[in-house]
Amino acid sequence: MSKVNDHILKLIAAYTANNISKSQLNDLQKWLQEVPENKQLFADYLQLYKKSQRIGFIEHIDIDNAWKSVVEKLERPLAPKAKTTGSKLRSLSVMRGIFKYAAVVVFLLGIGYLLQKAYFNKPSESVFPSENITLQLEDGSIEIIKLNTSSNIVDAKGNIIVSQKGNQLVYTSETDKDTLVYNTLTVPYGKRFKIMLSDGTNVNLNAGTSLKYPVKFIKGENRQVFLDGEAYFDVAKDANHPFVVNANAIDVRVLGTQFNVSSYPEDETISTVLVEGAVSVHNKKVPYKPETATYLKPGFKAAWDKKYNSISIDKADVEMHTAWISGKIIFRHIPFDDIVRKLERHYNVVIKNNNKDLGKDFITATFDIETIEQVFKYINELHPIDYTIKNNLITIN
Amino acid sequence: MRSRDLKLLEKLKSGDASAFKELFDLYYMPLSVYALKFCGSFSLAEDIVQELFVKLWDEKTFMSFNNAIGPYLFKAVKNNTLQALKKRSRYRFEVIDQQLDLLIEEEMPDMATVEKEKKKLYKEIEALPEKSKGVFKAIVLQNMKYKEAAEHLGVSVNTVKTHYSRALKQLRNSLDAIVLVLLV
Repeated sequence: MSKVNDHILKLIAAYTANNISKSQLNDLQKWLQEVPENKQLFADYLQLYKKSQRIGFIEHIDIDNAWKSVVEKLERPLAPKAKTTGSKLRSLSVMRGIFKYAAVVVFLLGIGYLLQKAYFNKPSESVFPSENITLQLEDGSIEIIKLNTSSNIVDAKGNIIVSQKGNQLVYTSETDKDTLVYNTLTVPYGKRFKIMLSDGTNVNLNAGTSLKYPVKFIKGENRQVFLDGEAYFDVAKDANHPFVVNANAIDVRVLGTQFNVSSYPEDETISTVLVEGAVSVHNKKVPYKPETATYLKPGFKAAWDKKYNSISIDKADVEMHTAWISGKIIFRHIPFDDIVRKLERHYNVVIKNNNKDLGKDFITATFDIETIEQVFKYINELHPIDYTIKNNLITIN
Repeated sequence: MRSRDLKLLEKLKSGDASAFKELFDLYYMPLSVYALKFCGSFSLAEDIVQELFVKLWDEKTFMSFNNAIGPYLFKAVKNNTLQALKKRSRYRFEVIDQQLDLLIEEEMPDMATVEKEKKKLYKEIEALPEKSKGVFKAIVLQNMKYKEAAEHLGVSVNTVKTHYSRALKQLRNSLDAIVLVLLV
C-alpha cells in the first residue's frame, strides 16, 4: 500500500510539522514529480495530519477562557457603566449612526474593511516619522498626545482638563469654568484622532486638521467651534444651544445631527456633507438669518467656492466622504489631480506630478491598509507612469 | 443556523450586548477550526478569531452587515489568516495545500462527523507503540514543535522525528479506509 521509504516519510513528516528545510523541500518536490501516485500519497498524509490536528484543536479549545480573553481586550465595555458625571452615555447610538454609513463602505469593500480593522492600530504608513498630535491649552502651552494611550491632562492647579482614552480625548462638563476657555487639537498628516466635547458631541478629526473648541460650553450661548481641515461631527442634541462649526468663510449651524465638514486651506471649496438630521450653511460675513441660509438634506453636499463666494448643492456620495473615519480613502471616478491632496494628507507625503495626462485621468479605487508604494503600484497599473518614491517625496514624470 | 444568525444580528444592531456573547458561542469554535485549516497553528488560529471578535464589538462593524453575520466572519478569518501567514511564511507547497483545503472546505465542520472521526483516530492512536503515541499526540494533537515535543517527552529531537514519521505511517495504513472515504 504505502511505497514511501523512510527518508521521504521523514520529509513528509517534517512538512506537516512545518519544520522543513529548503533542501528537504527540494527533495520532496523531486519525489512528488516522479509519479502521480506520489502526489496522492502525499495528499493522504497531509489529510491525515490536518484531520487529526483539527480533532486535537477542538479538544484544546477552551471557549470560556477564550471569551474571557476577548472581554479583556475590548476597549468598549459590554455593558455601559452608569457614570456619575452626568455626561451623556450615548456611545452606542453614536457609533450606530457613524457605522450606518461606514457600513456601506465596508459592504462594498467586503473583507478589506475587516482586514483594515485588524491592522488599524499598526503604525501609520507614512514614510517619515510624522509630527505629533498636539493639544494647545488655554495658556498657550502645548501638550503632545501619543496615540493609543490613556492619561489625564491636568492644569497648573492639578485639575483634570481632559482625559485621553486611546485615540480619543474626552471632556466632561464637570469643570467649574463659566467663561469660554479654548483648547485646540491639531492632527498632523498621516494621523487621525477623536474628541468628545463637554456636551457629548463626538468629533472625528481627519489628517491635517485642527479644531478649536471650548473646554466647556456656556449655558445660553451657541456651541461654537472652529475648524481648519476635515472633521466628522456627531452633534449631541440640544435645541436651545445651536452648534455652529466655523469653517473659514462659512458657518455650519446645527441642532443635533451628523455631518462631515471639509475645509482645508489648500482646497478650493469647503464642503459639508450631511449624513443625518438637518444643517444650514451660510456666509459668515452675513448675520445668520434662517431665511437666507442654505439648508441641506441628508445625503447632500454643500460646496462653498472660496474664490467666487458661491454655494452649490449636489447629491453626495456619503460613503466616499466619510470613509476616512475608518481609515480609508475612496475615490470614485475622480481626476488624479483632485486626489493628490487627499493622498498627501493621508500618507503624509509630498506628490509632485509633472504628468499632465495622468492629472486628468479618472481614478476609482479604495485604499485602506495599502502603503503609499502599493497605492502607486496600483495607479501605475491603471495608467502606466514613470514615478519615483524617495522618502516622503513622490515625483511623477 | 442562518435564522439564528439573523436574529442575533438584529439584536446586536439594537445594542444588545448579550447577543455578542451568543454570537461568540455560536461561531468561536467553527471560526477557529476554519483558521486552523489555513495556518496550522493553534495559537495563531485562536488569536485571529479573538481579534476579530474584539474588532467586531469595538468598531461595531456588524452595523454594516445586511445578511447573516457568519459569511462575513468566515471571509474575514480566512483573509486575516492568509495575511498573517504571509508574514511568517515557511516553505510550503501552495498548490497541494490548496487542493487539500478544497477537500475540507466546508466552513462549519459537522460535529457529529468530527466526533466519529475522533473516536476512530483515538482508537488507532492508542494502538501505536508507546513512544510514537506520545510524539504524535504532542505534535499533532497539541501542536508542539519538534523541539518542544522533545523537551516535553525528555527525548532527543531526532527521536521525535523518527517516531513521528513512524506514527504517521502506521496511522495512514490503519486509517486508510477513512481517509479514502473522505477524499471522495
